[in-house]
Amino acid sequence: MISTESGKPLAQSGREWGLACDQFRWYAEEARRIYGRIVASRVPGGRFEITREPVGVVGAFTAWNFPAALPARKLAPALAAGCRVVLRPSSQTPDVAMIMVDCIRAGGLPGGAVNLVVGSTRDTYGPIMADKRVRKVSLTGSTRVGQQMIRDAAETVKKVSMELGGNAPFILYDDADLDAALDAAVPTKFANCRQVCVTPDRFFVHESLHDAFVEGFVTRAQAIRLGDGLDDATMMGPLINEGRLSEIDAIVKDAVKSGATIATGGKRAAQFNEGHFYEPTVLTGVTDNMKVFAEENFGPIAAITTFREDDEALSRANASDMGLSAYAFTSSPERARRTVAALKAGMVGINSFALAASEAPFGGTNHSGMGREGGSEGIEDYLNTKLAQLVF
Amino acid sequence: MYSKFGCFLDGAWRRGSASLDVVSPVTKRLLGQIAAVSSDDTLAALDAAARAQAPLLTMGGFARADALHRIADEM
Repeated sequence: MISTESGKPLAQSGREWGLACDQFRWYAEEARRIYGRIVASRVPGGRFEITREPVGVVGAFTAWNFPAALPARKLAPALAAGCRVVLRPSSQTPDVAMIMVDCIRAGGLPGGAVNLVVGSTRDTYGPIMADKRVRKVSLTGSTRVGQQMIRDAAETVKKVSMELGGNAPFILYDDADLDAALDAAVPTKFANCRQVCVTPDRFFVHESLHDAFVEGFVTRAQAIRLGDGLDDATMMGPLINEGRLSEIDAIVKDAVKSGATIATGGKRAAQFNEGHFYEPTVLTGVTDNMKVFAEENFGPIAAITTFREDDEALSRANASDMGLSAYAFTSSPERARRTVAALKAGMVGINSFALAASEAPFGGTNHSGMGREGGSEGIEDYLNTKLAQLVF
Repeated sequence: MYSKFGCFLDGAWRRGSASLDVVSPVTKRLLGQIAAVSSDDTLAALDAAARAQAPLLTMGGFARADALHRIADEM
């Protein structure tokens, strides 16, 4: 069903469902570990007792790019904390969330603990945002929608968790293992047709490795087989809708007009008469002010530029309002440490792109949002702190 | 394709008040129509969520942990 509705390859859908199940297992255990503290008081005979309480009713809004993982990331920690949820999944991929909610019935939670609504913004988002009983909203979506939701949440002072867009830098230092970097970067770049907020987008490649990196990238990109996600041989599916397709096409044309070169792809996939297919695309000669670099692009475009000095790469990588994830490949632990410290992002991968796991706090900074999903931090978003001064 | 579920309010599947088209990104063809809620349905969902506060708290963390494991088993 994930592949039917989103078009992503079956293997990716299978991994996603596994990740969704794992969220429930992880947060089942976290439900047993909601701890408080006792703190000494200056009042004679007194002590401070600090406990954690569920925030209350939660409005959860999820996108179509991970129709199973995103609802699970909100439902599991919310329920573990003792919150109730009204989930509004994307109406482009609703069945996956419905199947998950149907499985939740088997858990034996009280009726009303989880509710699912699909419909227009006016009929779903409107009443949820206006309701004083909703004490928290959690969104996985675009920065633009997140900004509106934060404004609307202010009216009733709701707590917010925002997992918004990304425009991740990737730095390839001159001491990196080139083949290992390519083998990891290319499948990650084109996974789910780049409809993934943590995908590496802005490729800063040391000038000494540029030509070899581009050659290796293009060879691997050209080997990617496009098709229906339900076909086992498919490595990349379509974009979600027609609007994305024209948007991506316009961004590539804009880059070329501004001086970038298409190393491969750069057009709709000719072999498909129907569906929103775009070829895996590699652009070289990209400059920092081009749209393809400056803004998040939800499509299969790898934009490559070069650098000479480490500091130059780091400062150009940080020249973005986004701050979700960032990546670097190097064989030097010293360089790795400096890079992790310097990069403006909620998550940094060194010689790895594997950041999403139930046990690790996933989330961004700056315009990529706030709050964390996963890890012991993930349940914090659904808990309030209560302080009591007890004097006897 | 979407006849089995709908909107989930207060522990049961409901047919909703309207419908929305879902289109395949692969073929651009209609996959089916899903139940869509009215604002009153969403309010009913919020009411149900509000009512579930006491029973959910009474369960406690250990019973909620068991429930979440049963959900993962079912998934």
